[in-house]
Amino acid sequence: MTFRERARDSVGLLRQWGLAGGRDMVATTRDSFVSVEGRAGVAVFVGLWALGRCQAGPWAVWGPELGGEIVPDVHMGYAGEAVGAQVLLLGIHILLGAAWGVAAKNAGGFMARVWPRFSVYRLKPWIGGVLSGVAILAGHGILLIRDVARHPALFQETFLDRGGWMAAIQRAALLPETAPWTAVGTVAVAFWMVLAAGEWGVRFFRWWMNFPRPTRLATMVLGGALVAFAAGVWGVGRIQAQRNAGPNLLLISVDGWRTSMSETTGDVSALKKKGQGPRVRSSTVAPSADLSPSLATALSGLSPGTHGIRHDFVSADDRLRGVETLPDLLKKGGWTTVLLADGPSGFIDRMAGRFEHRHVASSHAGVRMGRRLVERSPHILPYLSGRWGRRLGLRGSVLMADPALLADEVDHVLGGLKNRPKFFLWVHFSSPNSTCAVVSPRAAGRLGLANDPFFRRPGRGFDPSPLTVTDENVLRRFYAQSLRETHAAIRRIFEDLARRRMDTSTAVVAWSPRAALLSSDDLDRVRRLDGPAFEGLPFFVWEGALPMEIGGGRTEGPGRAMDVAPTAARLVGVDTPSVWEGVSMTEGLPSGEWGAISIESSDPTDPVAHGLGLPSPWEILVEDRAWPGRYCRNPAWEDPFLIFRNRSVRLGSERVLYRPGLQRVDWSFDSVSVPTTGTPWVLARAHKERIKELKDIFFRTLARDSGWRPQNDYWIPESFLREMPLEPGEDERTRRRMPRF
Amino acid sequence: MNRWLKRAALVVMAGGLFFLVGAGFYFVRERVVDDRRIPFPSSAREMFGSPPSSLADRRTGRIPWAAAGAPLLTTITSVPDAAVLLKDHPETDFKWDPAVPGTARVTLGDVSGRTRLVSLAAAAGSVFEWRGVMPAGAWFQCRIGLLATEGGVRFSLDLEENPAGETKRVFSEMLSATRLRGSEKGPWIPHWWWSLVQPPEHPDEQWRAVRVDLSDWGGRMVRVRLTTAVVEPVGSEESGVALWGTPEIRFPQPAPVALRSRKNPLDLPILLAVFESTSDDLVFPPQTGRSRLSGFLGESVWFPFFYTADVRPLQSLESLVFISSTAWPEILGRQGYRTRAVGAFSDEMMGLLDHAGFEEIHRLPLDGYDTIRAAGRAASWVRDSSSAGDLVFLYFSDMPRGRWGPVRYWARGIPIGSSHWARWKRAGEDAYRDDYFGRVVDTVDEKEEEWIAGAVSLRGRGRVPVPVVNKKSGRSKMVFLDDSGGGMREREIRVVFGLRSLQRWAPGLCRSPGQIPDVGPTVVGALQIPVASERGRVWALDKAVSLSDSSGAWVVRSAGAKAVVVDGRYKYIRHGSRQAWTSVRRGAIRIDYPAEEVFDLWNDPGERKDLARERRNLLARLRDVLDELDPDPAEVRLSFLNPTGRRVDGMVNCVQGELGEVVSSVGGRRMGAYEFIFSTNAVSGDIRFRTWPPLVPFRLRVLVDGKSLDPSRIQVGRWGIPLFEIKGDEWFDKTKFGWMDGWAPPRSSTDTVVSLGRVAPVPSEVSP
Repeated sequence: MTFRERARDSVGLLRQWGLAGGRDMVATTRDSFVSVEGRAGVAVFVGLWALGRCQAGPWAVWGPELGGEIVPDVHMGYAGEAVGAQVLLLGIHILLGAAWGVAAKNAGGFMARVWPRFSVYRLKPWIGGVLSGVAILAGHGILLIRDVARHPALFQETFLDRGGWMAAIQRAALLPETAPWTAVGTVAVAFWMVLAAGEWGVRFFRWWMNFPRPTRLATMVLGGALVAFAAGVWGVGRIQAQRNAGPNLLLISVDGWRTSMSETTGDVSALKKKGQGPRVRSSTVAPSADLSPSLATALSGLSPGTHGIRHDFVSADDRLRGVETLPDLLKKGGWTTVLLADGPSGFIDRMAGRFEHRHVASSHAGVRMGRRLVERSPHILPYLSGRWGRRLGLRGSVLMADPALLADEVDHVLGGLKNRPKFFLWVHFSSPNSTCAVVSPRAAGRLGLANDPFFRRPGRGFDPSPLTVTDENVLRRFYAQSLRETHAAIRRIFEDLARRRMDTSTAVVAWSPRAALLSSDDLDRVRRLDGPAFEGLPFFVWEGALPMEIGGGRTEGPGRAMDVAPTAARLVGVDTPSVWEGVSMTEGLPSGEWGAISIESSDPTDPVAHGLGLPSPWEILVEDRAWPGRYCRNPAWEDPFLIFRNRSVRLGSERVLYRPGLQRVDWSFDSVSVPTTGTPWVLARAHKERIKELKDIFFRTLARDSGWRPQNDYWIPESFLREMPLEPGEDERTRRRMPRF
Repeated sequence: MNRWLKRAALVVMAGGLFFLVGAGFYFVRERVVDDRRIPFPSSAREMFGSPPSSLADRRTGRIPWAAAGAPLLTTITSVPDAAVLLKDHPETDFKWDPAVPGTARVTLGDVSGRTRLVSLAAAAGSVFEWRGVMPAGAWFQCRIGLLATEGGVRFSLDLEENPAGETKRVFSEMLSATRLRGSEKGPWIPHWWWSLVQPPEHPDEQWRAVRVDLSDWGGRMVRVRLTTAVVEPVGSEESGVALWGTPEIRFPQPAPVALRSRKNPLDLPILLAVFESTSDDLVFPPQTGRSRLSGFLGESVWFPFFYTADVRPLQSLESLVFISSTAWPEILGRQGYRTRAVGAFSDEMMGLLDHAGFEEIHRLPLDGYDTIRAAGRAASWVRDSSSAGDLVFLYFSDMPRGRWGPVRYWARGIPIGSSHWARWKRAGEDAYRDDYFGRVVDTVDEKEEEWIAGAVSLRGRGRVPVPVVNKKSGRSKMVFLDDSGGGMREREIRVVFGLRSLQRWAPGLCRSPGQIPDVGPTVVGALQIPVASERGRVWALDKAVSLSDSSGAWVVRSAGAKAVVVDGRYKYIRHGSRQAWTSVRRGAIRIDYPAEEVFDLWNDPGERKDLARERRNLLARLRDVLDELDPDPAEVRLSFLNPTGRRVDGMVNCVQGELGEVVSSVGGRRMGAYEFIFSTNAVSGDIRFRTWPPLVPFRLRVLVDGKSLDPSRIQVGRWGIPLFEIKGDEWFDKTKFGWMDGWAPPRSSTDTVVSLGRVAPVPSEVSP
């Protein structure tokens, strides 16, 4: 036999082997799926799918962080996708049922090998089917109960809020007495899976042993050689890979972090990196009560008036497009830039484009609708609520923003970044924000069923409705637990840095874009532009063992969000662009007008009560022309909402407060240096000159926003945008979206 | 059963095959333009044919009969009243020329289209006579036509040598009306049948070309008589009209004097090719490529930053030919030019060109063959032209929908880098048009005498993404629509313009922005004819600079938007009502441009970043510029609530302009053209008034019980914010009413309140 003939025979043999193996695999898989157990599992999960549909009830329009603003539109604009998503969900349920059935069949098969009398096939098929269905239902039920206890907020909509026996299921799952039984059940399910794996192992072993010994030997030698070769290539790559030398920058932003709650969770500045306290320890002032303006300010080093992001639903045509931001600057300097975020925010999706690598939630309406559908499918949630689920599309759900999971991801990403010369990693924690959902299993375990169990902020999430004292206490407790988990995650990130020996080369900046609003007093003070929600945002800098030539000393004092980027750039020795308005906090806040702290309220959230005649901010969202699938505010309403914002400029101990109304502008001035005697000192003749100066400073500060000018004390855009008013013939949905005049 | 099924399947397959073959045949035969069917240039059958060989390439003069003030023209017989006949023939668009008695502009058919001519119109039996010394080597040429329902007319040309010499008939031809009358169609034949078999153009009413050699009478005093005589009786109900279209005597003319003063006008022949649209490839970036048009522009003074005035062809054509109330072809006509236009013109375009004073307008059917036919006619005109002062206006329209260009151009039109099929189809059509444009230019180049040749397009055409909203779902997206122009992007409003003269000026690029109204003054200026242009500017082509003052702002309009480009850098677009945009794609989508857009063309040539929100100061300035150059009609709405029934006195005073229509629900009095006052105790009222010019400042005063209303009680604009300040007893507004747009009803109050704002006028609600 010539070499060619031998080769031809070998190829033919391999082909027959592949065909036979493939046929065998298809046949056995098919047998498993159409077996009694498989059909029983499919039937169970189809029933659960139908039950889940009934259980979820009508679409609830929750607040924007739960995708509430898109719900009316996705019903209209994504009708086909919604039907398709339901079909997909049904398919997932069927696959899950079949998988359970296959597991049951294999576990039963293994038991039958050990104990031949234990075989479902000795029974009548329908009895076997019923028994298998019950077993599958029990196994799934145990996993469901376990996950309900771990993620109570995630299941609140489909269990607790429905009341009756459904609520009783969740309450029962949260009882301390249930936990041991759930643990026992989980072990039983794990044992079940071990049995199934055993059967798979036995069958594989038999299949393998059917080959003649020379074939097995040759395959093992060849396979081993291939593995050894791959390992060699990988090892050489690892050995010759670049090593991280730094300086690195890790920016941690925690949504909802506030210093005033540190007494309940421990001092946040007590977080230590390599035994060091923070070099900068400041309470920054948020430029706005909204998340996106704060993030954009920290990203760009510019004030909101300059970068133009004034609320959470910005258009793709915002001004940040032409601005050199911190990641742009560092990317140009050779840093690898990465963004990790777990929560929902359209702007995070936008800013992710500036990073080379990012793991953030998409803000596309279709994706958000899919996420909502999964959130409302309680019977597949137990299989998706972990880190795999986040990768499959649940990222961005406020109910899934578990700090521990994000810390896991950071650990994984740091492993990759170890082979990059230097990196800039921005990690955004969303969990302790204003929705205050209990998203961490550990936090849920600590809370249990104390008081009246709810795991999400009361109300629908659109307007910060007044809270009762009971609500406030519960919110504070939830916030404290979530914050505790966040601190644990940050500590773990520090440990990961140390474990990977990058802590000395990595400067860490931790900052909060906005504070959580935990009481009615917080809400009132936000409207008045003062209080911890604006002025108590932590800002810490650990420079690690980076060279001290960055200058400056240890700083404590007030800061601004726009100082975050310059400070971070300074820590890694990068010169900041001259257009940035912020300064490095390593030197502290400059005095005079350059150190003025300018803030503005969010939109009038209760316009009717204020008599402004403006619609609700959620009613004027339209699909973005330049970014289809995303939502932005109707440009026609940009100006009036901005006109009626309260604004404040603080200069040292003095503060100017501007509150526009329908008839006139109310001004107030206060200063800690002037004793208040019950009469506003604005009326004091002695301070009139100073008041005039402060007014001028106020308008000069606002003048960064080009095209605006003072008129009758109002701060007014010189040209209103001329979006078209409502016209006859618009359909009802568009009518709702259009401005009403 | 199976057998029947098989048979049925065979029948279906045969039917399908027959359908496919038929559809293919129909597509190839009817939908695809086959330019090989049409000879190029046009055959002698379409035109007069070649001039006598003895006169080929010799300069000729002409004595037009129908021109105003033509020498020795005598109208012997007046034209009878043919009102009934003309009413029955609306397609002729018969219009008397008030400047020249006895002449009219009439449209009749010709071999491949319709031609509008300045004609001598008369009833049968009329005689026109011309007396004078016949030039040496002269010949007579004209087109004859008959407008009648029945009967026949003989057209004759008689010469009588003075004094009282022998009369000799040198030409005689009879035209008969052969069109069937409605009464003769027979009652048993349905009307729809006649509408199918008989096209509405009345093909029998056609021009017939006539050329008569008069060289035997050269240098002799003669009388030339144009006679029409009835051969067959015309109907009793209608009168027939006999037409002599553009009669003229042509003769060899000696070459002009070589030395010319700058002040003396030139009489160079002109060819101006006008394209309905051109691809943006020619101007983004401006470079010469493989196409004939780009090659031609490379030999010309080329204006790469040239804007159209309107993306609608008709309005753009109007801007092209009218430089003021007068059209530049008419000016050339007064200078002795023979002005001819050919193309697939619409009805409105025909009227426009007629008004512009074109002597001959050849209208071709818009069927895809118009490109070759128009180019062919223009080429034959150029080829046969031997007279000074010829204007050939060649119009290339876009390929109509449902038609495909000739197959041999499909491969040449493959756009590099894009496989969008509509763009590919357009590119093939452009190649087809470009080829025939090149042939016309070749014909010009073959002439020995000097020609001025130009090319201009009425609008651009580019692959511009258009934001749309699905009407049912409300979802937004960007799509590419073949029907572009509404976005006012540079690719849609930048056009090509180049003027070439191989002897007078060198090729070059003129990078200063210009606009279509500049074309006419520049052409006329190149002929050293003094011109007073109200719209366009005169460009000195040898220096590529403008000789006129430049405003630095160019306004471009479309059906639903208008734009202004300031200093060639900033562009402001104001889009109109969304309701105007529901026709695309069967109304399934709605074009969804924002109300206003601002672009910085230097830093953002692709017009991707809208600066309307970011550059608010710039937006305000650009608004002012557009409002000054092209103000929108607007009216001011003043409403008040007066719950306590106090006396409200008001006064509107517009001394810098005048007050237009005023509609008041509480009465009032006009005090001259610029003032309106009212006084009332009504609990509410509403007054609307217009000013002219629309944005002229005006004074407004509202007194309540004789005292000025507090400014805080005046709600201004759409948002109803008190923005007035008070000084003495008058309000004033630092912003020049910058935020008066829109109007909101006055909010309920226990005291008198006023709301004020500028609103779009609603014609149906405004009473005179």
